[in-house]
Amino acid sequence: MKISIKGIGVLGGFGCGIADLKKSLTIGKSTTTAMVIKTTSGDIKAPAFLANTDRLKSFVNKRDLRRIDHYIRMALLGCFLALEDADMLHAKRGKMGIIIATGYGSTCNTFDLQHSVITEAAPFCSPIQFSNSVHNAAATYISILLKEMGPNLSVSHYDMSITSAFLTACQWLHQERVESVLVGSVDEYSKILGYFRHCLYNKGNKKADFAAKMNPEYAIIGEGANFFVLARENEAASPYGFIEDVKMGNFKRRGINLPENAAFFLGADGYSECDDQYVNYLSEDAGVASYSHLYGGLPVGTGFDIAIAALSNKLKTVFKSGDSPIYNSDRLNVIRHNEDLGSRRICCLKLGAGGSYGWVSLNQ
Amino acid sequence: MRPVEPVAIAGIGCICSAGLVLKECMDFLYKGQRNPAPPVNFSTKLTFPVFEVLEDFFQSNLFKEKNILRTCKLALTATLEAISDAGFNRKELQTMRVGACIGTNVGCSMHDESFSNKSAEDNTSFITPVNRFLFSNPTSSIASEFKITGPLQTVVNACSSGSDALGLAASWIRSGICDIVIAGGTDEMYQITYTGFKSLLINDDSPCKPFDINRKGLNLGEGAAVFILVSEEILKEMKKDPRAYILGYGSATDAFHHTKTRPDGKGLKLAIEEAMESSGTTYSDIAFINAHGTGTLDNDLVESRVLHEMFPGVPFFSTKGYTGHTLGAAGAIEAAFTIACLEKGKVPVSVGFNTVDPEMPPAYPVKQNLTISGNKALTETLAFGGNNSVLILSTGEHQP
Amino acid sequence: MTIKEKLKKLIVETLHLEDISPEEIEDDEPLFGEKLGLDSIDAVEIVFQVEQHFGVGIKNMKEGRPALESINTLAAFIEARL
Repeated sequence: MKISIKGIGVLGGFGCGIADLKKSLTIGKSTTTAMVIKTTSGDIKAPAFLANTDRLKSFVNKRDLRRIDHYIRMALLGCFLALEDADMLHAKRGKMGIIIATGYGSTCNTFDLQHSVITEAAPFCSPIQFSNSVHNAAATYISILLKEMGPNLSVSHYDMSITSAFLTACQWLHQERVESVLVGSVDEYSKILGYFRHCLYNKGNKKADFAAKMNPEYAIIGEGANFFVLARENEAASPYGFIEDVKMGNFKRRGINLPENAAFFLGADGYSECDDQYVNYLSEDAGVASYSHLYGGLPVGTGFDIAIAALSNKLKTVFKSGDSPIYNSDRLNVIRHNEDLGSRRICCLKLGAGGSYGWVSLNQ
Repeated sequence: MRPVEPVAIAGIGCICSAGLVLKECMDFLYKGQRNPAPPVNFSTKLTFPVFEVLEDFFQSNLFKEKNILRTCKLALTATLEAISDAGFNRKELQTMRVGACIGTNVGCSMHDESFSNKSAEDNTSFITPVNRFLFSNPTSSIASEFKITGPLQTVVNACSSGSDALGLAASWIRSGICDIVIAGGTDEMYQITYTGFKSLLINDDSPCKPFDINRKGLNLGEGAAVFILVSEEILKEMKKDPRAYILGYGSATDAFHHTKTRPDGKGLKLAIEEAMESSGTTYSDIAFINAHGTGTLDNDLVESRVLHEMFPGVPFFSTKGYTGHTLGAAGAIEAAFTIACLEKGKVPVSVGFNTVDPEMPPAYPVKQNLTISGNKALTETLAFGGNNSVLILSTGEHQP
Repeated sequence: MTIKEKLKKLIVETLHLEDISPEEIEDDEPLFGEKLGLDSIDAVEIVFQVEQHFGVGIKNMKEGRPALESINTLAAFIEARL
């Protein structure tokens, strides 16, 4: 039994939908938005990759969206785009599981609540804002809109969130708990994150070594959502390919066993202390690429890598990598031009906080 | 859902307002007393009673990390008890494939107050607090402290997080990706949650009364419960009976409303059916039910109707009258209580219940400590957002 | 602005009722009827906003339900407590 990718829904700095992601991969860049953070010592400028959710109105009526904030809108749009791509929006479907992962959670809400409840002299809390800040709010909304009563899970484990979500999605399918799983992730930009980037990449910063090696041009904060419809498949063909395996562990304590005959998509995005350690675990032959220059730095970036891997399967092409100096590129075989995928699998690898790693491999 | 293999629980740890270890909690429950009070761990003008762990429980000399959030301290304390209960030592764990799966509500919010919108506006550098935030995830905290090397997952399914974490962890054992999983739930009494629930007008301003006609809402609580799940191979090496088994797990969503319980209880029924089918248990084998029983008007009404329909005559009770609603920890803490009750052959009074609500079916929770027979029980949680999770548990000498 | 006008504006803005203007809310129509499509979360949000903007608290929904029936009942509730 294989796990096939039936549909993909993505939005982020590159645009909205799998076609926009493909365009961005072809051109090799996405458009940033210049963000301004007001501080008592003046304005701080920080570029960001923002996601636009206007298309959500074509799936959900305006009144149902009235209380829904940007974070939940991104998740909902990702879900609907994935279902549309899988031709499952209006089709009768069997029991479906829903899994939503997030690295930071509903960030803007959380900090606004922190301000109104903790910082303010007379604490107050809007019920709508509080309800939306609860980590499973997005998953709740999608289950209500889809009228789906199957198992529903929200996970938040920073940069291992999406990998752990895929682990569970595959388990549910293997167990025959459900016929399909709508699995994905979302993270949003907030001024706190913009400010954090400023602290990290400020010339005076002496605290984060990896940031000192990184060109800030390749460390743009990103936001967005990436969602997938997965299903058990016995037929041979699946244009986006199959989820072959999901592994998680700790590379500092036990190393990693990586699959052979693979192209590797690396989760180096300028925000992890392990960005410069991929070179220690990859052979010099293995072709590697990183695409965070298209969607930015966010804990659930691996989800975008999985979407790109699925596209690569469909088009039988591995797209050229971003050009970040973080990869010690003389020791890594960075894919500098579009090339034929051949018979390779694709392994989306993230080395994360605390020495944890997660990889998701796709085969054709 | 096809039947699944039972998964052994080698050890359990539990901390909440009722006690610092599981035995202490159970002694407290069987006494039938409780004493919720306004919060002391943070200052607030609100006076809704809560169930805090009032003792200075964190033995920092036993742990590597000291500067961690309270949610993590609760989780680590319960984990240490569970590991000791299982008979493992730290060095042994490091040689095995150990994963961690913890449920939490608060533990993944950026509630480290040392950075905020204000610090950004004031141009204060906060790289260190942000890095600390990244490790304030309780699962990461456990992984770091006990140097584990397997998969990690943090479940943030609101009130059912603890139950879901246990159900998911059991799948990891069955599928062979881990030899051992440290699984459970944890949540601290947190000011934003406290104020947030108040804004939803579902707090009771007096000690909560699950299933009682005069119930007005819930009281919040804090705590953690952690379980050491082990594979059959590890169990054989241990040469002793496990503490308990997870026989089955089911979950389903109401798909109805963000905060209100679905009136027909269909989500809960589906979750119960899945749990029962996956465990291969017959309905008459269930000795008792540890209900969610928050004390809110909606939850208790719907839950009592479903229990009466699916388990007529089976004793049920809520322990939230003793611990408050511990949110992400609730499913795990109540699973611990369920196992302890099976071991003891006795369930505690459903404290807070005195007078029948005529709107409820003719079945009500236990009014005094009750001796039970049988070695299987069910515990259920109904979450904010409509997720319903159910675990079927048995004692360790059960022969699956 | 009268209390009723202020309440209508508050409801439209804080509940994000983009397709209705404050003037379209009748003084005596049920707030939780078909037209506005409000639910229990909207109800507690109104309670919160009334507390923030008028300094008048509603302790629980037992007290809140009759007060929240219409703009008229809500304005009367607030006026009695100012």
